[in-house]
Order: sequence, then C-alpha cells, then structure tokens
Amino acid sequence: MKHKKIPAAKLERLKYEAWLKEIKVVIGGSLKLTPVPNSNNDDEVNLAAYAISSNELPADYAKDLMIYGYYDDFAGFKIYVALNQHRWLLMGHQTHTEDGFTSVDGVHYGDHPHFHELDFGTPHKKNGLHRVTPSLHNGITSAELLNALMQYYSIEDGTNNVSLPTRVKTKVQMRLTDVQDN
Amino acid sequence: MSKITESQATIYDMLKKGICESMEAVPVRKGAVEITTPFVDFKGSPLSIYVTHDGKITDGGATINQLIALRVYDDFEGWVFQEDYFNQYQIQNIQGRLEPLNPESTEALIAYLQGIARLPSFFGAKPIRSQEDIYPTKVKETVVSGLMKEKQLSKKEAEKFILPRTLKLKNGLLIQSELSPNREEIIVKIISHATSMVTTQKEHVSHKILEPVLFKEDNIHATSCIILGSLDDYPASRKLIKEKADILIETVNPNATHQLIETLAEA
Repeated sequence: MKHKKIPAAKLERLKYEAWLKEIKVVIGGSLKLTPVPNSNNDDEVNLAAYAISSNELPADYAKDLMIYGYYDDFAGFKIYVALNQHRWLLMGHQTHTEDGFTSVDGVHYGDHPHFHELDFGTPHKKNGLHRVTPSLHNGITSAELLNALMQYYSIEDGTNNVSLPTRVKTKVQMRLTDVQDN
Repeated sequence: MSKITESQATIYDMLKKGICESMEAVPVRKGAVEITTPFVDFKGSPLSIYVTHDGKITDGGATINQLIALRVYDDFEGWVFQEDYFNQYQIQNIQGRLEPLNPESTEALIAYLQGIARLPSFFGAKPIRSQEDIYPTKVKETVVSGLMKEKQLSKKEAEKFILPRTLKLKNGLLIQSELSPNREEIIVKIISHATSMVTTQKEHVSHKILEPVLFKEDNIHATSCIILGSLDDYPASRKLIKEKADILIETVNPNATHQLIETLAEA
C-alpha cells in the first residue's frame, strides 16, 4: 500500500523574517527567572520553558515553540527560542569568547552580549548571524538580557519587565537578619 | 578486499581535516578556555566544553541547568538508565557540573562529549502552557523554603525532599512519589489542573490517584499524601480524593505549609 505523503515542515527566509517582527505571546503567564541551585550569585539564574504563540510560523513550528534559558559558569546566561527537541530560532548570549565576533551590521565586538538569528545563506553554520541591539551593554544582567530580547523581538508576557529572583534566605542569612532586626 | 581509491581517500582526508579545523580553543571568563567541538546539541547549537585554569574539564553546569530550564530535571533524576548512561559515556556529575570520568583517555573524552550533547534529547521538554503547569513548581518552592525556615535545613538538604522517588511494587511495576519524604512508606502526589475542564480534571485526578492506590494495596504500612490547592476546585473528584488520601493537604489553608513540612520531615 502506498502511504499518503505528509507535507514536510519547512521554514523559509520570508516566514522567518516575518516571525522575527510579529508580536509573539508567551502562553501560561509571565516569565520568571529562578536561582541556580546551590548558587549565591543573584545573576546565576535559569528561565523555565514557556510555550510561545505565533501566527507567522508554519503550523508545525508554531505548535512546538518555546522560550527558555539557563546559566553556564563560563558563558553566563543563555536564552533560546527553540522548537521542542529540534532547532533553535533565536538565541541571546550574555557573553562571547574573548576573540569576539562581527555583527550583521559589520561591526566587530569583543566579549559582548549579543543575539543570534538564523542564517539562511549558510544553514550548515550552526551559530547563525550575530546581532547587537542598542540595549545590549557590557555587564548586562540576566534579567536585562531577557528584557532586551523580548523587547527587540516583540515577545509579550503581559509584564515585559522580568526581574531577577528574590532568593530564599539561607540559615545564616536569616540569623544575620534576626540580629540586625534586634 | 579492495583498496581505498584515491577519491575515497580524498573525501576521508577532507572530512578528517575539516573536523579538526572546526575545533577552536578560545579564552573565556574566569581564566577558562572554551573548546568548541564539531558536535551539535539536541537543539542544533554547537557543543562547547571548558578547561579551567587548573586543567579541569567541565560543561560549566550548562547541561543540568538546561534540564532544569526544560522542566525535566525530575525525569532525569528518576531515570533508571542514568547510571548506565553515565558509565557508557564516561560522565560524572560533580555538584551539578558534568565532567569526564576518564580525562586521560581521548576515546573516553569523545564519548563524554557525545554523551552530554545527547543527554537532554532523552527527556521531552515540558514548556509551561497554562497556570496549572506552575502549581507543582510552586509546591516545591514552598517545600524548600518551608524546610529551611521551619527545620533549619540548608538549601541543599531541603532540595533532597523535592526529588521524585521511584517505588517498586512486588509485581515489579515502578511507580513514583513526586516528593521524597523521610518515611519511605509515604507516597506523595501533587494534583494541579484546578481550572481545567471537568473531563480533563477528572482524568488528571484519576491518573494521580492510581499509583497511591496500587502502593497501598502492595504495602499495608503505606500512606498516601495528596497535595492540591483546594478541594472545592475539584467538585467532580472530591469524593474520590477524600476517600483515597490518608493525608490531604490543601495549600489554600493557612497551616498547609506547616502540615506539609511535618509530613515530609517526619522520621
């Protein structure tokens, strides 16, 4: 028996570019950063995966889209807008290796926060194109990086102002607060 | 056996050279060097590892943090093949950082790279799609902060209680407690979907109640602990929940955190 051929999911440049500009809504509430376990640095956070809606992407892509982020000891906070189990569509990185990179505008940067977009010219190159927007600055916090990505790529979560998490106080911190209060 | 032809050898040489040339070692923060590998991870992003200033090879915590972000860390912790996989790919988990088990061997190092690249692909990400998805996470946050506050545990000690626990029935069937109380006879289930449609909600509740029922049939000392927001949110399943829960914790109640902490910490 001959199987009916299912049309292949395909993302074309024009669709992708339209998606970059469209307003994408976070499903399931506002984004929340959570502290990395066993870390005392306020900027070491993860972002739990949230589904994102899209009208521009092909249906097979749109149904599987999510945003999430995680901390890396040496590269800092990394954000991904990606398909579940398949490919990334956007990345945001807090740092870069010290040898730097050239952005889509032709400017060379050193270790600087940046975004990655897909490069349809050379799809086999897995890092895509680097973009630096005005709100990206050296020393950017994880929350600022996330807000900058959401603002530039029109990702709406209802608040559009994600902040760093308030940490649960440790036993020692609680004791110190008690001493201070008394 | 035929010999390798010139064109075959050319392709082999091209690939070998290309793979070697695609690797880069570049200084990064904290005195470490990032080594970019020819491998890509499950989302098609190039895989890097780090060598610290004192020569230690590490993933910088990225793999475990990624599992947490994808909301599959509990699945990973309860994965029956974890030890087997780590052995096969020569990986060790040192306080949330995945490091090679045998850094002296090139073969073992390559296995380590492939192992950490593949790992997240075994667990389907669970992106939050609605408020009910957030409820179990909220309960776990309450448990950690409650244990730290009421029992003066460190965060690390408190986090052990929010790991899932696999329980084996006499017939070999594996079931899971969603939290890890001190007493192993207690099976804990967290019921969410408070705002879902009745049919979805009933299905969710039945699914959650099944394992405690099986556990109690298997073990006369077993105790089922059900955690939910408010029983009033589950009118169609109210009777079932009340009947099957030995300990019922409604987090809407003011003393719920205390009750939850006492249940988990009870020796």
